[in-house]
Amino acid sequence: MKKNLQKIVCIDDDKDILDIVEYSFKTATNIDITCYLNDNNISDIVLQDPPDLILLDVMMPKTDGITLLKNFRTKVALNKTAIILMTARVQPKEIEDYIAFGASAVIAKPFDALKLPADVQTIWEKFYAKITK
Amino acid sequence: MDIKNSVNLEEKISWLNSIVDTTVDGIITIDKKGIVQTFNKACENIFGYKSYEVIGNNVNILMPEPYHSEHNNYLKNYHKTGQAKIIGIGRQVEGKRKDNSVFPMDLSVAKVETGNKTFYSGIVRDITDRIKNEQIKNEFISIVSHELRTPLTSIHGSLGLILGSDIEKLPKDIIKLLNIAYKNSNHLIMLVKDILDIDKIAAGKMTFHLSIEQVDKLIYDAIKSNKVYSDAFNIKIDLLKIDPDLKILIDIDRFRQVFFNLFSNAVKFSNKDSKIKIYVSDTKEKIKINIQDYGRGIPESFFHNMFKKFSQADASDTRSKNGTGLGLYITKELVERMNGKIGFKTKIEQGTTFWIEFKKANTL
Repeated sequence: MKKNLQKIVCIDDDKDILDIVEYSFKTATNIDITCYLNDNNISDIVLQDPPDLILLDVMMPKTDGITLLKNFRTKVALNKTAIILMTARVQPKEIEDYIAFGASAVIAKPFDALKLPADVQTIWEKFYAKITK
Repeated sequence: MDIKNSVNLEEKISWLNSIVDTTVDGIITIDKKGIVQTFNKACENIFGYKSYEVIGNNVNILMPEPYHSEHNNYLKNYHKTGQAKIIGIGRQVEGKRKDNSVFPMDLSVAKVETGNKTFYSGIVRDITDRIKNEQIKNEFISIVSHELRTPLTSIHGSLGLILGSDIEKLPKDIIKLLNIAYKNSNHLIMLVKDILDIDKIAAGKMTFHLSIEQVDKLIYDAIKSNKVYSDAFNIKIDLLKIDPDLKILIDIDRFRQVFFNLFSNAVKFSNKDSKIKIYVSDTKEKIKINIQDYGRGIPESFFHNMFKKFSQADASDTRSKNGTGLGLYITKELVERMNGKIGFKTKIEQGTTFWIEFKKANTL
């Protein structure tokens, strides 16, 4: 049974990018999207109410995206949550590593804000098909 | 001292010794058993040993593990089989100083035969600073790439969202300015990508995953991906039939990048509503892919700049301003790294054909 993508959490250290992502989804979809600047409580926030999908920046001070990704992938509560890394670091070896660490997909920065909701939807459908096989 | 004409052996030896002692690179000689025979001043500076502490000892005291333990076997194996790991080749290895610190070094070794004796002469260069500078440079490029791409994401993203929304009620001038800003943010994104590609190529860090591919399929797929671009200028594509048996050894992604660069140039320099012709020719051993436009051609004065960085034949051409000036430079580097060749022929007011040539896969 197909599950609609209903709730997204976006984590980045750049407020402008968070605003763009939020605007991109709110103007094109009915998806509930919440954006967070990365801080020490982010893991607790995500685990309290697990979203369907997390958009996660990689290069962040304090805790970087890869550390967060690895941490999220140890949590049973997030087994059905797709995690998409959004980063300018997209060399083939880097992408291989991200997938090995548990990323569902990678979106390169700069991304097309108009296409972002459709690209995320496509990734979600593939992820959900895989976990419900 | 006239060394060239001197018959005085002592003078000649003194002259050679002073060259060896003043050279910047380390020079070590060892015998067949690996025992150090000579150790010049530069070696003393590089390794921290005085020459008398090293001469007469096994050269492996200058090597960290595992080379320290394996060097004697390397030498024995070489004497037995003639198979050289480093003799006559030279490469980057690790050395060990007197204080036990390990450092990267370039080492080249030559076999020296005098009379009935065999020696080995090694030239050593401490490359610690060079490696460190490369690391600093790579980190700088990585940081700059991230720091440039992050604000570009915001600029490009917000402009895209504005232009994709209902803007008809805005004054025409404002819409025009927004389009200019969006177009130039696209240009910046391409420029950052091209500069990073050039750096990767120059550092030898661009990886190529080569596979044997059918030329017709490569070209059909590439045209399909780029057709939106030629349609935007109403340029028709005249694709001649390609023999499906023609195959080349190529990196698919890099081929697409090369094709896009040449295709987009052909579109840029075509007159509106004209056409581009794409055709493939082959000889017994090679396959040539040709992309021909019927535009204004290239002046001879520009030929020598064709594949250089930041070169554009006519900076006043408004369409050409959409290029970064790096496309042909990168294209040539990519083609040559895939063991191909690139060239062009042109006639003013008649057009230009760019070609790329590769060996047939079955001849490799």
